[in-house]
Amino acid sequence: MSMIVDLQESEGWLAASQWPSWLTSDWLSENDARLVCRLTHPDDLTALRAIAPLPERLLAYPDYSVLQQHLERGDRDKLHRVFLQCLGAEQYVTIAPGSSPPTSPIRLESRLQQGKLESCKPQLAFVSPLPPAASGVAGYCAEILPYLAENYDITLVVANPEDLDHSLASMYETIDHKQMMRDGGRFDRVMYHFGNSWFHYEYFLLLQAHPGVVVLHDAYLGHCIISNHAQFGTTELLQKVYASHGWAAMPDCDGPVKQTINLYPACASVFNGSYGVVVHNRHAKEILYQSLEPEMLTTLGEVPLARQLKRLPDRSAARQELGIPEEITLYSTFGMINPNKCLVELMDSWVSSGLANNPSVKLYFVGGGNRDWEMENRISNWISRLPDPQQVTLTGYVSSEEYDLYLGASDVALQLRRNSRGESSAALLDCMGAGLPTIINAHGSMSEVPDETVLKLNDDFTASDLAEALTSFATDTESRREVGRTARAYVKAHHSPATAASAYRDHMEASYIQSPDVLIDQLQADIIGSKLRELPADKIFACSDAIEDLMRCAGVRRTALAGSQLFVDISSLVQHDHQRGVQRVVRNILRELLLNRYLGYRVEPIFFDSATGYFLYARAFTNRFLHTAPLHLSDDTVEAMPGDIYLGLDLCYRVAQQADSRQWLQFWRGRGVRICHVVYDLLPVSLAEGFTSDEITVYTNWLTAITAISDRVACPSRTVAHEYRQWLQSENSGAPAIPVITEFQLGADMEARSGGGALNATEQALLEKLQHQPYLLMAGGITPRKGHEQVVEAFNELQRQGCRLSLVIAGSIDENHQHYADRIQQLGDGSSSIYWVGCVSDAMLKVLYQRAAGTLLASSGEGFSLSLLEAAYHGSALLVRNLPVFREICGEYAWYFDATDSTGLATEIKTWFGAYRDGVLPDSSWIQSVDWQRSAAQLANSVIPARALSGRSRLL
Amino acid sequence: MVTAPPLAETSVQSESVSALQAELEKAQWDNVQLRRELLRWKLLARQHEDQLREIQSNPSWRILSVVRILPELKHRWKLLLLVAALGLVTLPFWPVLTLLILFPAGRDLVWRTLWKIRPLRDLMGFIRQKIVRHTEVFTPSVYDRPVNVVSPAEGGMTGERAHWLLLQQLCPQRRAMLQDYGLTTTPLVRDDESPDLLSLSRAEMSVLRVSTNGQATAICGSAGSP
Repeated sequence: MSMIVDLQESEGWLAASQWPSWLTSDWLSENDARLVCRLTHPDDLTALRAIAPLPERLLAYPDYSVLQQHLERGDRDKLHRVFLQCLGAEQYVTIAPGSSPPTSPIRLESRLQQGKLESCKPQLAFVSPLPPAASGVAGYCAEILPYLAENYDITLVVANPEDLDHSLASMYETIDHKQMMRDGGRFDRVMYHFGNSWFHYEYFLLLQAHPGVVVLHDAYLGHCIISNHAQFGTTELLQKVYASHGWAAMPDCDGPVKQTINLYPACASVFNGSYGVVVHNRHAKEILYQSLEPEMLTTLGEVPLARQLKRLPDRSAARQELGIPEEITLYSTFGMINPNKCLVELMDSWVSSGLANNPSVKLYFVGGGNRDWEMENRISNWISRLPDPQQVTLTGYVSSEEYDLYLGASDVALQLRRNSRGESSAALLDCMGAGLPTIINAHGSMSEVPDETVLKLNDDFTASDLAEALTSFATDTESRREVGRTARAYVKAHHSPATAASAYRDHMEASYIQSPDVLIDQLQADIIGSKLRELPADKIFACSDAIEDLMRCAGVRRTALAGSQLFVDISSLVQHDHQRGVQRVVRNILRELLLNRYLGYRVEPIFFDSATGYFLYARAFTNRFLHTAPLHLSDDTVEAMPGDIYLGLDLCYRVAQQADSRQWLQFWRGRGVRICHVVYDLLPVSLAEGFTSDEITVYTNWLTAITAISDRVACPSRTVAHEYRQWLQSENSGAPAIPVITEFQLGADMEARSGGGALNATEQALLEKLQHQPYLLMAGGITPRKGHEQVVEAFNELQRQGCRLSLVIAGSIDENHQHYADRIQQLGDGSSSIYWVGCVSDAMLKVLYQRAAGTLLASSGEGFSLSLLEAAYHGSALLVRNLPVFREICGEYAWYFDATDSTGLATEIKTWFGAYRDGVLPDSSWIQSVDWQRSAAQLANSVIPARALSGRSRLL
Repeated sequence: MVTAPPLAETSVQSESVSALQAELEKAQWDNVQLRRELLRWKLLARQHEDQLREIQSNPSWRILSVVRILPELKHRWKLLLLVAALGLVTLPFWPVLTLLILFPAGRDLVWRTLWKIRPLRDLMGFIRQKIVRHTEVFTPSVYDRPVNVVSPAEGGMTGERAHWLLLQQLCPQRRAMLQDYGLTTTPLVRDDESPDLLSLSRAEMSVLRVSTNGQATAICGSAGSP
């Protein structure tokens, strides 16, 4: 959008008699404009959307009372201006009701200017491990520092400045992490180098306090996070996996910690806390695009890994120094010893290639560092079994001078990898830069190296492939030289530190200039920072929270959670599970949505907390619900972004009706959150005689409320959808735009993932009793609507007639209908063919369905009928009342009855029983049913919009 | 000369192009999802292969075959095993423990010691969770930030105190992590009930940024700042 039309307060527009005639949808389209308005009252949104042209171009945001109370006019104006800037428009106009078309819109200074610095050499805090720390990142950073120093006035931030290499300490100002935490605000720029080891652990917190640009050396950060195991155990890792990958990832984290670390990058906090992120190769980008949602990755850039071409000692000198004879062909593999270097495969190939018996070749494992004792022992054992154990040497950790000697002395390098974490191999570039012919496999970022510069094997190479490569290089000296020359030229051209440092600078400057986060952080520091001596701490927090929410309205990702969110409202279920049909639906659909990885949304159960007056994330509940390891996460207030979805899955009347909760739905809708509700049935409207007047009033008010605020309404059957449409017509509710009505099917496989459990002794005894007699099953809650009275009387009649069919009634008794249930029980007291089994387990219900002659549904009205679907799913024949909803579900595969009195029903049952004995009943197994997984997917499809995916698939 | 198609035709074309575009995007998204899932399964398979290799190559694992199944066991069984093992190991100390439990100070000491042992804390949490589940009383796990805090403008509050009060707004885990940075001379309050509790609220990050910003520390002062 290039223009913002600021309507200011909603109140004035609703009080005004008419909308400006010039402000039409055509005008908005021609000027590429959108409307922005502050909601004086939350419910103004509905009325405003009714009168505004193109309601989808209306952005309405709350009138934050805390900001009105505690900020001066000047600060509020500043805030409003940043808000408009974050919307990304070039110009804006402020209009009032009755005003004429704007002639001179005000230009908004582009936010591209905000981060520019006047000084030619900005102060840069360079946060990274540095030599002598035993980390690859440390050595790398020492190499690029001089080149970065050409553009920045650098201060080094390290854990222990006193241990820092003297040459670095003498060249740069150095501070420790504590000082950085206290004093980091003074820097113009901050650059963090994140790797997957304990050296980088403290950067997470430093980054939260002092954001900057992150150079991500590994896409996976699990090992780094778990390095603080002593303080927080696995909790912190799980928390970061949840924030990065959502609830769907949590069941995978129930296994060994290693599994969690290997499966999930857990690096969202790096993206959320920083102004920009840089990786060193395309493979790392691919990993991130495959693991995180693209909304997170807008600041991601790629800079080639820098590698200085070394001045190495010549071959003869190096060999003399190392004591290696001239005539030997020396194979070396460089880097730390660990299983990811495919050393087992190398050892196998060394033997199978015959090189183990060749006295003119030698193999050196150059490197150590983080010692993998098991792997080293394995290599040592292998060496001792070789025909000539002197042929292979394990050097252990070597100094950089020795490292260079080995590079200079080698003839062939072997750099094999597996299990890449998105890193770029500095050792590979060292080998190539030294002009060594290098054998690699096309794994991870190494697949991006041009084919002509190395001898590249397949990613999943075999031992014979490697053996062949080893022998070919052993004999073909000319080919070795040619590959080595090309490799050196390639490294010189593409990986020079000067080129990389310049790319780092470009990315950093672009991030600081373009990121709206810089602007918002500056604003927070400016406005809130100036209030620190005036306002109490809780008010400061509240103001900061309100500013964050306002910026989220403008579409700036100010949330710790990765990805767009699908909020599933379970306000009723978190308080109490009534164990009725609706709760059964909510539980099953919620579980399936939470475990579904393919929605493109992270599913977040939420509930309205009347104590705080906010919607909260139901994290504690969900943790328990999914039986996952404790996350120790706070049930924070919900942070909604444009493009998120709210799904009112639970039947909780108060949320949409009462002002304190409804206001949030209006606020969210105002910023572009799609509001959806599920209407399970319209029985209080369509079958009013079964409900009290209070129940009808509550229900009708709820239906009116959700109609006014919803974009979509999902119904569990065509019949309910039809009834809802009829209700909308009859009410003529005056709602400006009625919601889109969609349908989905309910699942029939009970609590599919709960396993069902075993039968208890009472249940088994009952089954034994029922073993030799045919029975009809009535399942479901006992309410007048379900027709139990008519059925019991009919069975009394049948018993008098000598019919040998029994009736089993399973279902809970609603406390509101206790008297009715007592009456029904009294009615059936004299009958020996009626069994009351109350509320039974899923396992029992399943057996009852399977063994029943049939299932009887005598309801006078249903929105959906879980017992009908479940009975059909388990192959029970159906005897059901002739209702449209049953006709819709069962078609011709059920036996319908119309009888309205007990005598008529007794006759119908008798006829049905005859057909049962003759084996001519309709086969209910033909009824099309779905499981809960499919049901949840249908519901999700009906509420999730088709998304613009061009950005998502850019890389893949 | 090529003439422009009639408007109606253009709109039909544009509709079919956008439909095609939508289909293409859907296919691309499916592709991304499939690749994600493939990657996940590949990683899982590799994980299990590594585990198997580890078990096969490690003699101690081979001898103690029962230990092989440990990673596969449910948490509850692991905890039960742990409790049983602890029970057996600590058998000689039970008389001393009994004696300690008789006195309030002793009970306090035992409780504080037990609380420091993570598996036991997990066990206690697990049991509490079970009890809560059965009673079906839902308690949101909300971090209650201090409210009605004294205003720094009242009564000559020091900058250090105001800064301390601001940091108290942060959740227990963040406070515990900040403890070592010496932002205030008075240590931040440790939350012994739930030291791991983390709030992911974005406002926390902003408050931390404001509180550690140069301007804020200049106003409030901070321990150890020059």
